[in-house]
Amino acid sequence: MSEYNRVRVLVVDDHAVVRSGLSAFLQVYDDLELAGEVASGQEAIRACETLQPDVVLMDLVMPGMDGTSATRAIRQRHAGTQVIVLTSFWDEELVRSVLQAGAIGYILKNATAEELAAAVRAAHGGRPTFAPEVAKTLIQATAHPPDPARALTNREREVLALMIAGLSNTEIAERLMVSRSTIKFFVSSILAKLEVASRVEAVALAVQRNLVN
Amino acid sequence: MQLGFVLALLLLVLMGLLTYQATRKLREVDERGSQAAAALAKIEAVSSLLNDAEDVQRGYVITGDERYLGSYDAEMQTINQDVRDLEKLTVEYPSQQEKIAALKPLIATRLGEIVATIDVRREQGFDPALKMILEQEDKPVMDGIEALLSGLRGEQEQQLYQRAAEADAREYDIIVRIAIGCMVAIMLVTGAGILIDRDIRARQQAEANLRKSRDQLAIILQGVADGISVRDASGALIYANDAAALALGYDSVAALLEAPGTDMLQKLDFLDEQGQPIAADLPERLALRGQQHPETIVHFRVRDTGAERWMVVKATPAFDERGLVQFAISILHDITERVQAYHTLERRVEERTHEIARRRQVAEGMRDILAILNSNRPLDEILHTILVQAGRLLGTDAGVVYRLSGRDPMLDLESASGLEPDMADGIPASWRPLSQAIESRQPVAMSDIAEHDDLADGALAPALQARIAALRQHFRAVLAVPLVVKEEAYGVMALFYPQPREFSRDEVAVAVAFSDQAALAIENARLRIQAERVAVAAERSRLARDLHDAVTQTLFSTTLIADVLPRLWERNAAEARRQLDELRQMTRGALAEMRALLLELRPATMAEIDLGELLRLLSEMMGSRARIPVTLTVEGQCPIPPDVRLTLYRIAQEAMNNVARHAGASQLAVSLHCQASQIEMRISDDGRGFDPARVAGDHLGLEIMRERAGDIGATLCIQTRPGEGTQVLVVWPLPQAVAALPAVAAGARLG
Repeated sequence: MSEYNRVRVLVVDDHAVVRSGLSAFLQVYDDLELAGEVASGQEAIRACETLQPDVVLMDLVMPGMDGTSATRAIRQRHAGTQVIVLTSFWDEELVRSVLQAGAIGYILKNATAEELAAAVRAAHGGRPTFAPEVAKTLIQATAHPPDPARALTNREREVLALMIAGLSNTEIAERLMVSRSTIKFFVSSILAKLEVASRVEAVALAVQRNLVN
Repeated sequence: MQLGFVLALLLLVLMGLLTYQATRKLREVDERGSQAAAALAKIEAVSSLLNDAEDVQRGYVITGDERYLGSYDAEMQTINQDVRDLEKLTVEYPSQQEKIAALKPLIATRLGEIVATIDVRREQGFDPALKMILEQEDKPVMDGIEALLSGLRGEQEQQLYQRAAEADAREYDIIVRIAIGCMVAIMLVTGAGILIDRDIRARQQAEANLRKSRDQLAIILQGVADGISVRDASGALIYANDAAALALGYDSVAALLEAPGTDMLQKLDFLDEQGQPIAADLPERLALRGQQHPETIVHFRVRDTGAERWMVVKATPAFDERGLVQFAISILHDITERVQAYHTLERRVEERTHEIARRRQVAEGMRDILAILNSNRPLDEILHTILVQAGRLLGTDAGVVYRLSGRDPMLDLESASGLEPDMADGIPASWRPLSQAIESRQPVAMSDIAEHDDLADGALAPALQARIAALRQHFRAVLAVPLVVKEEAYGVMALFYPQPREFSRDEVAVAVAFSDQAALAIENARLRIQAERVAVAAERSRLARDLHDAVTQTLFSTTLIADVLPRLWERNAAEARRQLDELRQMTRGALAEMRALLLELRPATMAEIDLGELLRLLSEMMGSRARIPVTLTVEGQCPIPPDVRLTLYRIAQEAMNNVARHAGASQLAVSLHCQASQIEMRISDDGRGFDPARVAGDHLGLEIMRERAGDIGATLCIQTRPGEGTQVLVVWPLPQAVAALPAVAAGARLG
């Protein structure tokens, strides 16, 4: 493979150890090449200007500008540069925002050298790569939109059912043989979990989504 | 006017004189007229008597009847008498006297003839008598008499006429004089009368004016707000106005004036400013004794009602011309309102002073509590202090803080002061003073729990009833204040009193203030627990971050290198060897990181490790992280106390972290020099350095490093400049060296 066809990779990580490991990794593949290594988001954006890398391996948590912002900036200015996120974290919110920022791959820092190489190649070809954990998170997020009722305890569900039946706190307290203040506590907990401001909204949401039964 | 009277008087006298004179003259005239008239009457009488005598003669001659003679002798005598009278009456007129003188013999002759005739008749009979009569008629004696009488009559009548005319003239004169005099007199009297009238009117006017002004004065005095009274020399009250009557406790002036002299002394107490009785020395009495006194404040107290008045009394004696006291005039100026206002003010000042003292006590109590609140003491200790302070201010040493228990009907005993925990414990939450305070979230003050039979709930278990009974045996009054923490009923603070007592609003307020402090303490304690939890969580997340920062990254990197190493070996053995060495350093660094983390988790272990060893750990760790060579130099033996060791370790850790993160250095040197007098620790790099003046905030943790150095009595010195690397030097003087060689130690510090 000629030198000109090599995928040029920019390494962005605040950990020198990681940069060191990644540079060693990039030495052993004929089709991959280390374009440069930087320690922060700002440096990454500047490096993209000067080095015009094909793929950026982007850490997310860094001092100064973080990886997500840097990804967004790079993708806006250099449509030809693909960004693969390389991080230890994969919570749903982070994954969503990074994908919205324009990253094409999301790899965790437990990937093998082969997996990493494949991801770089795929990104260069315009194909996404996701670590299995990340893929699972994405699938779960798509398949199961957040169900407020899942968070409700059985007792809260019981109280919510009586609320739908139109009982007052005092009546619910009598029915469940607990104190009125206990019921008040349950009701405010239900309102918080359903993210609604009032009793009426809670009942409306519960009926609409069939949260009880 | 007086002149008018005198003139009128003189005039009247003059008039009297004139009139008297005129009247006398008139009387003279009149007398003469009367004389004339009397003379005329005598003349007529003489004439008539003579004729009568002739008739008697002739009648007797004719009839011879003796009865005709009758009083003929007397008449004879009367004629002679009348002639004599006539003589006297006409004495002033000589012509008449002559005629009377001529008349007398004629009358005597005629009367003789008659007597002779009568005698003849009686003795000789009728004829001789007749013959005599006829002879008599031939010799007319009678005619001569008649002529003389007629002449007299004529003269007298003329006389009478003259007198009458004279009298008329006199009379007219008198009338004119009297008329003029009267007119003048009338004029004078009228004039005088007018003057007198005017004088009287003026006097009446003056009197009316006097009366009026006296009335006005009375009205003015009545209207005066000050009381005015006047006593005469005997001490009797002769004047008082309404204000005086009211001031002395009477309904009206009349009631005061009518009251007996001693009434007032029986009715009122008279006191001086100091409250001493002064009845004998009342100002008006002194004035009656002729003494002048300045104004005196007299305090009047009505014995029956206790009503009190204060007066400024000024009594003034009024002397007569002999210098004796005539009156004593008292003026009473009511200053009751002023005095009462002053007393009220005084009372308020006293109350206020008391209140301020009390507030200061409360504030001091609160300050003590605040101090202990800020001291991080355990909650039960703080609550105990609050109970003691509250009890001190609220007059008891028995107080309890209870917490509502979630589990059972019993209250949890949080703190007790001044009573045995045994007695305070096991009180049911349903015991009314406490339950009421908790449920209503209002303080409950029971002045005497013995008056409440319903406090021990009959439905309670006998054991609980016995507990309450024991409490009630010792205590009579309860002040229960709810403890509300974060708007939730937490429990109750109760103060117990062995005797029944009332609780003032102020005391309840103080109790509430202390319960607020107790609630604050409880909230603080909760927050502290929460803060501890947060700290633990923060520590955990810091460990997680450290693991992520160091170990995870290193392991990822080493794994990656290990992955590619066989291939690299085939391609480039030298590079592979270099990477292998890298790998070794990384794993060694990871090991150092793991050891450091373990030390962080168990600081006690760290205290046992030598500072040189700790610095070696840090050097390996940082060299691996920053991918730069670190040289460590340790010289001398370092017997450093654990806390100093730990602090120096932290400072080195922070400094090396800065190098790893910011310096961009290619070399890092760490040295530790343990000398006899001091210990020097130095961390220096060849990185980019910085301008200490332009470091934002405590970005590099420099302040924390300085504080830490200060805590152990060490000096921290940072030498740096942009582009020239950074050196952090910490000098810690050994304690014995400080004592032995202060100058050297000080110099070392400066260095």
